[in-house]
This record gives sequence, C-alpha cells and structure tokens, in this order.
Amino acid sequence: MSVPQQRITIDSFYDQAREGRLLGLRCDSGHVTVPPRHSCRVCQSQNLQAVELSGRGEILSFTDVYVKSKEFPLDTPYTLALVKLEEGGNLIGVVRGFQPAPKHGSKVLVKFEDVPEGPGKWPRTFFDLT
Amino acid sequence: MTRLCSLVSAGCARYGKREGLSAAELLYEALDEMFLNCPKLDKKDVKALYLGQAFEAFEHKACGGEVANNYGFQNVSSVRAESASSSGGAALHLGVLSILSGTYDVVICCGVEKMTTMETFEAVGVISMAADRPFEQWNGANLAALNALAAREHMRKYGTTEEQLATISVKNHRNAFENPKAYLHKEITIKDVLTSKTICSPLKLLDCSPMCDGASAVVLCSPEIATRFTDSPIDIVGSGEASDSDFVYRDEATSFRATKIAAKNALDMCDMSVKDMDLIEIHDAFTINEIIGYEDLGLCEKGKGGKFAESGATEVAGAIPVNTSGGLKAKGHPIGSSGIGQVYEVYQQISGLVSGRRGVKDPEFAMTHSMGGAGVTAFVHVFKKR
Repeated sequence: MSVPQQRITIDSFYDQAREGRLLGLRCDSGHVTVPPRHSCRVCQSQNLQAVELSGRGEILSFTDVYVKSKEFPLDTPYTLALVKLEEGGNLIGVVRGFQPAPKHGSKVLVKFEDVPEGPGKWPRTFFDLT
Repeated sequence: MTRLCSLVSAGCARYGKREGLSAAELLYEALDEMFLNCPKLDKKDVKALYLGQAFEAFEHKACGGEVANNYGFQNVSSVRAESASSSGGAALHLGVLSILSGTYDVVICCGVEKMTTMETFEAVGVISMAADRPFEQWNGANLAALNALAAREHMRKYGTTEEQLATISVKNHRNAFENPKAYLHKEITIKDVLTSKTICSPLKLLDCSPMCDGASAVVLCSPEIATRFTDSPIDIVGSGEASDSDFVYRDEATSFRATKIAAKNALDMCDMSVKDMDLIEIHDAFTINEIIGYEDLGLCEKGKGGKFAESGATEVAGAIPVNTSGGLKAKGHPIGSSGIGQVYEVYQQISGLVSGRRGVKDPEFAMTHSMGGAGVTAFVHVFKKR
C-alpha cells in the first residue's frame, strides 16, 4: 500500500483559505476530496495531489439554526448550508446575504473569514450568493 | 440459528432530571434493579463490565473501573466505550464479542449520562463534539443542524412533510406516557409539534430528543449457562456494527450507510429479515432519524418513510411496533445509556413485563438500532425469545 504523496493538514488548509485559496485533494481517478483527509472520500485512494479549487458551488441543503452553542460565536438565527463544490467535495458553512431564503441548487461562492468575537484558531466558512 | 450470547436480566434508572444523584449513583440504581430481576445472579459471577458513556464534560467521567469496584465487583475487567450517541450500543457489542470469544462467560453491559447539571447553551457545545470539529462544528453545525440538513433534503427529494415528522413525536410521546422509566409523560398532538419553537428548521423542539439523566444495565452470558440464571433467557442472535465518514464528506444526505451495513451484518448472522421482527427500538434522537431508520433498516422503500410513519404501521398495535419505550424522543436521551436502555425495553417486552397499552402481544424477535453522530457509527442487535 502506498502512503499519501501529498497531505494537507487542517492548519495548512485554513492558512491557505485565509489567503483566499481553497485547496482540495485530487486522486488518480479524478475524484476531489474537500475537506482534506488522508484518503479519497470516493475510492479511498491515498494517491492524492493538492489542487486549487474555484470556490464555486451550489447548496445541497440548508437550515436556519436557532440554538446557540458555546462553541460557535455567531448570533442566532443564522442559515447553515451543505454546499457541493463545482469540482467535487463538500463544505458546511454559514450563508450570507440571501434575500429571499436560499434553496436547493442556489449558486454560491465560498469565503473564509476570521470572526473577531470567537477564538481565532481558524477562519470560518461562509457562502455568498453569486 | 446460532446463539451468540444470552440476555438474562436488565435494569434501568428512571430517565429525567435526577437531581442529587451522580452518574455513578444512577448506574448503581440500574444495577440494583438488574440484580433484583435475577436473584440467581451473584456479583461473583460477573467477569467484566462494559460501560457506555459519551462525554466526561457533563460530570467527572463514570470510569468503568471505579463503578465496578465501588459497586463491589472486585478486580473485574472494566472498559468504558465511547461512540457518541451509540456508546451504549458499543458497550453491548463489546460484551457480545467478549462472550463469543470465550474469554468471559458472564459480563455486564451498561451505560450512563448525567446531563442536566449543565445549561443548554454549554451542553449544545459538548454534544456538538459528536460532529467533526474542524469542518462541521467550527463552521456552525451542531447535531440538530446536521439532522435538519438531512430532513430538508428528505423533504425536497421525497416529499416528506413536517406533519409526517411530527407523527413520530406524537407516537413516541404516547408510548412514553405509560412507561414509568420515561422522562416525558405528556401526550402531544401534531399541532403541538408544528407550533413548538424552531431549533434548526425544519426541526422544532418537539422533533428533538430531550437531554436528561439516566442509566441502564444488562447481563449477558454464554448461551449454555443461561438457564442457571433464568428459566426464560433471551438469546442475541445478531450483532452488527459499521462506521462511515463524517456528514460533510457524503453526497447522500438522506440515508445513513452505517445503519444499512450494521443491519445487514446482524440479520445475515441469523438469516432473518427485518420484517420478521415483532418490535424494534430505532435511534430517534431527531424525528427524521426514525423515518430514515425505517428506510435504512428495510421496513419500507427508500423515500417512503414519511408515508410509512403516517400509516400507523409502527404504532404498538401496528404491523411492526417501533419505539414502544417512547424512544430517545420521549423516554429521553441520556446519551451513553440510550443504546442499553433500548435493550432494557426488549427485555421487558419479551419477558412479558409490559402491561397496558404499550405492551406488544407475545413478541419473539426484536431489534435495537443505536447510532452515533449523524450516521458515523451504528450498532444493530437481534434478539430472540428462547
């Protein structure tokens, strides 16, 4: 069994994201895995190359979150979405600027931003309407 | 049909706000009932104890060794099993494996969670640890939100309605009403569910299981010695486990693959169909979980779970009663206990100890389904009256 050719750690993913680069991992069969992990999310291949993605995607599902968690600094309610990225792979994050409400298939652009009032280890994931 | 091991007794501490009792003390209450139900069982018979507990953040962890020794089992093997909401299912699975391997002949599988000492705001943060930390929780997902994403997609794809989700809650509250171990003793209507406050749309407060305190315990033994302890043992004839990636990595939001694989593994072991079951306890931390559970376990076609719920088939008097205990939804969801609490219900029903409206008539086969995270782990067990 081969070991991964290229790894993206959580910290390096978010460091790049903070600079405006969304990184994914592409396997030999062309599947794209986001968020980063140690194997392809489709075929489990560990032959992975880091690739820069467009950040474009569409909403698979969404929910208005009314329950406040100590672990997440944003005020409630906020709209959370599961977004399928154009090249493959998914991200979960907060939807901004939707009037009226988003729906399945709404096109978005991924943005990563630090949230001042929260702990600052990593930026948070947002989706803007395109 | 091969008997993997036998269930000879069970006990359960009442679920609810149990002020003044620690996690370990709740476990002692469950163990006391378990021994009372089985006078021929002696502490000295017990060789190992497997304890399901999900989070130590609520209270100092109820360490397996500490519980075992404080209760008076001396020098037994003792392990804590952690698998989020399926920690109880994991403890049960470990117990089955330990008997099957021939290592031990009598073991206790138990579970506990003491949750009500914490404010909801903080507790949501703790429970969210069952989601992926850097990519789900960090970006605003909690367990209710992940299940809400699944519910919204199920509604879009299959036409499932909020009323159909509510039928799960109404049924499980009705069952819990007559269960003395249940936390919520209140019958509710569809309208009550639909008008309760939104937690994560489309899930409302009454679509979500309540945080509470609780503990449960069961005794497993080798099949050949079961009649030393009881005249009416229950055999475990299927035990399946499976895992999956975190929710964010999956393109399919309306099905939990781990449940399907765990169920297939458990049913293949005993060459049974899910439709042979006389009752099933399904993980219903959120109402959508029970609907998806119907589909993933094979009770109905994919996408038909909402209609199946509405049909009344899973009422106590229906073709296949589901969550006669009241489920996690209304009996309560003290996380580490829930998977063992399901087995307590099976023990009670098959032993004929449930009277009144929620008693199933002469059940022979039963199934439990315990799920951790948003479909990250699943444990399925099949039980047969001997």
